[in-house]
Amino acid sequence: MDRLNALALAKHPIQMVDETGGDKGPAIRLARPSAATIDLQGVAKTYSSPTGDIHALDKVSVSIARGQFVSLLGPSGCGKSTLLRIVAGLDQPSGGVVLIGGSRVTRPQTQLGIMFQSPVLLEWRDALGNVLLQAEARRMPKDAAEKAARELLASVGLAGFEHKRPHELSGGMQQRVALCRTLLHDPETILMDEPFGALDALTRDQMNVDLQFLWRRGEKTVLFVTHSIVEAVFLSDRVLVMSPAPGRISLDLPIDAPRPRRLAMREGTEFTKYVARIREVLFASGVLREDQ
Amino acid sequence: MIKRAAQNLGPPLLTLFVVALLWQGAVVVLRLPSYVLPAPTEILAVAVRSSASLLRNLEVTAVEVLIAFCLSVIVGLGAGFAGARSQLFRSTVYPLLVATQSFPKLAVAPLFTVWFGFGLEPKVAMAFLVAFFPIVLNTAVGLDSVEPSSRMLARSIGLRRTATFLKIELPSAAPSIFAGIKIASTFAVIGAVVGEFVGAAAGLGHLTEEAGAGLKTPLLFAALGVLTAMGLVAYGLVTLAERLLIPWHTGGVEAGTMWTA
Repeated sequence: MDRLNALALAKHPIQMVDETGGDKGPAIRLARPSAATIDLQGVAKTYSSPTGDIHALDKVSVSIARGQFVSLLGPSGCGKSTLLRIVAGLDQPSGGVVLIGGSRVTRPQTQLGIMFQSPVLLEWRDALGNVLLQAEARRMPKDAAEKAARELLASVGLAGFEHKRPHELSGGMQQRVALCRTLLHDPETILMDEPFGALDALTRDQMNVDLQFLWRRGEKTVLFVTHSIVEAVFLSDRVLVMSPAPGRISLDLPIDAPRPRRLAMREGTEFTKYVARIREVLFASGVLREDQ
Repeated sequence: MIKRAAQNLGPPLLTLFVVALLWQGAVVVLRLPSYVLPAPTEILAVAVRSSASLLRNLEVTAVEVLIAFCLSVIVGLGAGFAGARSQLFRSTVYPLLVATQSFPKLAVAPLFTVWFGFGLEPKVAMAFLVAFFPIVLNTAVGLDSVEPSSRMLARSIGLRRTATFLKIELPSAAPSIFAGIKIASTFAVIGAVVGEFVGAAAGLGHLTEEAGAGLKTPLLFAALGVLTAMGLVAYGLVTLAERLLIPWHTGGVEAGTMWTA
């Protein structure tokens, strides 16, 4: 375990602090923007409810370098999805700052690609039409967008399904359509909120393989929310384990397995060590329990 | 589509035919007088004999219904959209709209006669009063129940307000809106007939009242039959429009069925 912690330090040296970043307000000391695509500094979120305030997130600070695949792993209700929405600018933090590419997030970050837990497809549009919604929002040239959309659909195995409506597609196919919509404008950074959570185990494995392929090809930065330890380790360069509410990052674990990763690697000793390390932290924070 | 219509119409027509046979048999066996319950054959005969009068009155009522229905759709959709968009509109106007539905509408019919006289206008006003409200409610319900995740998607990809309405909210709400319009199409017929009962010189409602007063029961039945057919045609046309405009909606439980008067 010590070896893994040492690796974590080696790969992520302590962030340099840029003293010249004062134009964003004197109270905030900005990390060097070029070092990270996504930079969270003391992000907190508190919801008020009739029974009192709910602390969803407690001062989360994390930097994600360009091209990294980073998973956020944690139990339900630990604020993973909230954190993702805050990064996307769809929700406002109660404290702290989010920087994307060095500029502060204050409204929806439409340059990103975002994928939600459910496919969120429009039932009156076919697969192609759903992917093209992205193009319509951005007023991309129609012909070029349609060509790109067809190519994307083909690349995830949906050639021939362009004109199927969502109800004619399986859950996995629907989520693939949603993935194509997310990727249509070729975003540099992609946020994914448990995109495969509702799929059966086999479909999920396949989606993991496909996603790794797409990610390697496109050199994207991905922030991926999941419940699954195995999925997180398989896909990620780095797994951030979150503690139960109020959410904090309790482990920042780099995964140094070679790529492309094969499904069979998940049974290897290296892989299971990572899984065990994460499980240990989940036991320590009380998310998992075995004593009756 | 014609084949499907035939398949849909066949069973109810068969039922109707069987009921008519039983009816005919009962009238003959029980020797019921014509003014109490005329036999279907007699009703048909009277309908054919009075077809000119029936058609003339049908035209009057149909015009009233059509105008009231169109007004209901325009006002109903407008108020529904406005309510979904603006909390202010909802809090200021909706309570009044609900109030217009809570008093017995028959009671205001004489008032419409005082205001608008005995012509077309009071019937249109009555039919509109009855018909517009289901459209308002179903439009508002439809727009309210747009998936929050769809709205979040729209925000995340930067879809503008108008585009979100046209591409996401309106198609999502369309099945519910059509349920309201269907109800309105039948309510408009009821409203027009109520308006004619109170004071009219023509129209199918007027004709039924007159026939009833003169114990011309076969004519009353014939007029009722024409009214029913008109209501069914109106409903059928709206259903056809629904199939053409929102073909993805395959039916099922309709949101509107809970908003009957």
